[in-house]
Amino acid sequence: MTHVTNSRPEHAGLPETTSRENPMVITDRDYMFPAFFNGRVLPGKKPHRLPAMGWNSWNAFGCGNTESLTRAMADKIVELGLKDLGYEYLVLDDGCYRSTRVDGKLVNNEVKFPGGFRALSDYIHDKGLKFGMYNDVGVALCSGDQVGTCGFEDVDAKAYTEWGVDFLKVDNCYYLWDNATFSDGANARFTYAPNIRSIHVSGNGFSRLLSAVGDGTLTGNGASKNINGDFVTGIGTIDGTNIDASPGGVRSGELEFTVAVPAGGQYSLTVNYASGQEAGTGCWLQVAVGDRDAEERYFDDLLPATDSPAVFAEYSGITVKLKAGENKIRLMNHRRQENTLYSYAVFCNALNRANPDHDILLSICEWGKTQPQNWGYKIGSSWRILNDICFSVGADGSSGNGEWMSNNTASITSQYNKAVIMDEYAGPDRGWNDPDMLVIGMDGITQTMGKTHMSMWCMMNAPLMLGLDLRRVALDDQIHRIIANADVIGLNQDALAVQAKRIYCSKEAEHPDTAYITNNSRVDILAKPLADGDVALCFINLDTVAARGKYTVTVEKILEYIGSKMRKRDEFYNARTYRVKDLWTKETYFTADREFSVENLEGCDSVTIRITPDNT
Amino acid sequence: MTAADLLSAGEDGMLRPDEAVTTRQFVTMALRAVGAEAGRRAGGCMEYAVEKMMAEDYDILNAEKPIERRSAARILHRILIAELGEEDESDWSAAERLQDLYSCHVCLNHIAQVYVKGIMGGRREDLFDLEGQMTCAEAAGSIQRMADREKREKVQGVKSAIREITPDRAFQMLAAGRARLVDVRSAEEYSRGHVEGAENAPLAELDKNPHMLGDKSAVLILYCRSGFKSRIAANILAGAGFRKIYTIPGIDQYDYGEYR
Repeated sequence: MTHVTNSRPEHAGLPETTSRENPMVITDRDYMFPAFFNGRVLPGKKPHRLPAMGWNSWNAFGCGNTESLTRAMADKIVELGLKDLGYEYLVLDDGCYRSTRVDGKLVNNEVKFPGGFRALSDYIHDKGLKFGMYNDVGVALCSGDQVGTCGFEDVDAKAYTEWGVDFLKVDNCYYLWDNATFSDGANARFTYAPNIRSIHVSGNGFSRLLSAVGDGTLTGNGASKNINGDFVTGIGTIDGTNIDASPGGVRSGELEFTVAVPAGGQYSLTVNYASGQEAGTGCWLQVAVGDRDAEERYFDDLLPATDSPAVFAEYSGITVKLKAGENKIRLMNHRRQENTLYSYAVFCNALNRANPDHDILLSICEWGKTQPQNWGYKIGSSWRILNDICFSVGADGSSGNGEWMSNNTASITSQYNKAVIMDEYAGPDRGWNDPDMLVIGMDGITQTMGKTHMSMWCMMNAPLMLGLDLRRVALDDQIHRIIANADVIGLNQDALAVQAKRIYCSKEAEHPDTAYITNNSRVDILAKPLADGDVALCFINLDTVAARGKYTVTVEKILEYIGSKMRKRDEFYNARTYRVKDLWTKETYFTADREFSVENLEGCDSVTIRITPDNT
Repeated sequence: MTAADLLSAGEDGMLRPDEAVTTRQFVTMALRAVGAEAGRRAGGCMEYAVEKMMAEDYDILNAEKPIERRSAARILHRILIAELGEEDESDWSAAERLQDLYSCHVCLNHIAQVYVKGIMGGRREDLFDLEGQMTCAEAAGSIQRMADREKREKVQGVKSAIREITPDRAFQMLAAGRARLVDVRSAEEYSRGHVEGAENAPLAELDKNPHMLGDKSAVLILYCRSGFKSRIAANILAGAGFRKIYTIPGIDQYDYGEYR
């Protein structure tokens, strides 16, 4: 995948703000679905090549974060040596603004942040750290504060520039153009096509009625044929917020017709459809001719609403240009992804206009709903992949509650199980999958769980954002030894910047690297190629009970899965001995065996080793 | 403190039980219920509550508007933890029957806790109604239950029900559109012939990803060949949080002929 940066710092075609009245009109192909697969970043995307590291207020203090707590955290990050290890961003999450704008501007909450954001930013910068804040592409933040950036991107970009912000986490509650959290559920009308019964193509003496169920082909995932009802439904993008579905494959569905016409020219298209305002049946239709990589779009708008998803009507007046012979006509709706990218892009662009030389790291936080792994790389440095890892966050005086496993997204293993098979979406020229912030330090997370959690996040090149009250941590105490492990952090910040691949899964023989497994009674082995030619392996027991077996990985197996990404691949393969360092026990040994094994992993436990080929 | 005592918190005397309670009225009542001094002075209570982190700037902004149920849950939960020194319930799985629970990650824990502790019920059995309003009487009731544990009816964690039912009963439920029929045999066996209307979720796939069927509130009706796989699948799904699981006889055990 070639990577091309556009040297223009701003994209002239984007509006200064997004509208609160009307959905965006997207005419620029750079923001359309086919462009997601070209690997090209958009103007002004900042090249932050490595995952972000720092501290975020949400897991630690929730809406109870304050200026004095934040200053205390800044002090502790330096005192505990964490700054020297790379933890640099101090991020104020939700709950820091006054709940309405004043003269259209963002204002600090005076009870919690009496000194204002500039003063706090200066304090943080004086410590050699960086300052992060939070906003939302909708009209309000998740807390309900009416200060979402929609419609105010230019004003907010100026404010963030004035406050010296280095990092922005941007959520999507109250988003207007999709049925996102707290948005009107009826917004689904924008992001799903109506139920389609048939299309009629006519022109140049040709006339043909094509039935969706009989003649249509479904491509991708999510769309389905209702045979009894005689229509196709579910044309849109699958919501990726929850743990039910794999992130792999095409996460959207289209309805395709192949029609052969005798002569090239203009043809009239009539669509027989029934609209709705709910997930699966919307009111917005996109019509294109040609394959995704060579498409021409002829319609991209709301259709007139029908009385219900079961009441069908006809819409004429779509004109398409067909060539003589076979043509592919695609009925689809990629607006879930396109609208969201567009909104984030407008915000990004506003930052670029406010200060072209800015270095603000954009952390996309729409919970995986719109399949951000497809488009997030164009403007952001990371994209959340699921709903939160923790709903029971801490406060001043309380640690909050973390989970190892759960039937929802709120656990270490739930986030890991999805992120671990998304490695091909990540990279230094793209950005990183974000399985949410660390829950080390919360009640319910044992020392062993914390160590494995840290190992997982480091191997997966996830952002490392601490979420605990650092005043509870002392140099070299149990928690410190986890979060300050330089060897393991070194994997996450390795210059080769390749997310680990799962090369073994005890529950999946055929496709350990891509199969979506949520059953935690298993052992996984991850392999990560490093810049100096070393390879890191991580053996993980996902279960809470011990795994009494021997788990082995051979040199051949390593090369089979990650050989193409390895530096000094041949040297690794031809080595006579290997130096192996356990990155937690610090034990080092040499072996001439061409395999690496771990036996008897305790519940939630892991072993992380760094292997150096030794040809001396 | 009786409900009547709480309802007399209004500036002009009695709060009207059937009227929507405003944020200010709610906070005032809540503070009075826990004996907080500032609650007795109607003027100072919002500021006091914000200072003590029991309320947010958002609540001051909306002081005179009807309080949203999610804000009420948040305030009650904060008071519970900060003023009354209660602990969160570690098992809040019962709250997952509320369809709108996950729609607000900021509110989720507050709602789950007040729900399982029996302080605030859902608007319906399966809906909390985050943005809905409360009457003064409802508010008084919730606040009483917050302040007085004896008045609560703690909501028990839900054990998933797995029941065998007859094919006739199953087809009634399917005809009424209230259930999903799931064939847990392999994809090959399914493609060679299956009960009409059944979707395929092979046991091997369910084992790897027990969450694959999506919405946990769905009513599932499982079948296989001999009844063995469907029993295993039912247990897997129950462990994953599906709550309404039925099994019907396997295709070797019952003639589904007329339904194929």
